[in-house]
Amino acid sequence: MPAQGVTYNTTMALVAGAVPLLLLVFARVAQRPGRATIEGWAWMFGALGLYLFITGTHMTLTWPLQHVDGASHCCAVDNITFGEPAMYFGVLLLFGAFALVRAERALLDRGIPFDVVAVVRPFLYAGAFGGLGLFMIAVSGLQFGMWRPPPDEPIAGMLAGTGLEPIYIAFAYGFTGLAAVTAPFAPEGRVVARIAAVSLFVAGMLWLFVALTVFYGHIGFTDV
Amino acid sequence: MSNWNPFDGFPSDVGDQDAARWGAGLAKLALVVVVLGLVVTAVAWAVFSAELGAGILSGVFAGTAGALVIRQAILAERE
Repeated sequence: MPAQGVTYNTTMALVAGAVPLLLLVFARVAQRPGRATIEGWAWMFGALGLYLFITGTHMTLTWPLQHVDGASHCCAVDNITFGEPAMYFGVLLLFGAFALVRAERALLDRGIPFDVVAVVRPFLYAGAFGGLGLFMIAVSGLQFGMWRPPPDEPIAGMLAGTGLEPIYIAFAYGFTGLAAVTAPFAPEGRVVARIAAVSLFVAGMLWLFVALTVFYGHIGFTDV
Repeated sequence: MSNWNPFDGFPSDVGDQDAARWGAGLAKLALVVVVLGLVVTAVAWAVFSAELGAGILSGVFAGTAGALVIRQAILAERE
């Protein structure tokens, strides 16, 4: 058992990065005139949502990440900051995917135009509340000294003592929160929509990069 | 009716020629990022440390993915 416990948050971070980036592509595909069915997209989001929901729920209820001596606020508190948002957004993504599949089939069977905005907007409203929680995680993480990696963790350890990693992770939470909070209001305003889209892209890139680094770092850090 | 995508605020109907031009350009950009990134990774790995090399490699993969995400968003699965 590694010092920090069971660290399956590597793939969780990868999914957290993939989802915003894929949502951007989906937003373009879904609104393209004469497009094909979006059922494949819905099932894909359902699969990613299921992954986040299962791992986030397990992390929230069992706290598999352990405190590491010598590292400030690492890593037991990550059970809250990783686990709970993953559970919340994962279940929203999962049910949103089901709603897309069901709505597209039902409306097309009746010859009614399929309005993607009307189907996903309730989930975006719920996501906005989660976005507020992400803002508070960013603020509290900085305030209470989170995201300071153990010096012997590969890659992240290079930043130990510089304060860069806490700022990086706080921005990742902050941009994800900004995307979640602005997304429900995007259809009413072009500027808000662009803020949501750019935030989504930046958040996805930040999570993707950190996920790729921890695949290397956590393997190197696991001395078993 | 407005011509902007309700989800991202950018124009909904990018012309086929524009989409093809951007698609080709971003694919080339992704290729350049991969090739140059791998060279920089190898140099950093050998000269400085494996950690730095792995960090740069992570950035190369993320940057390539970002370029391809924008490409696929612009193309939006057109034929």
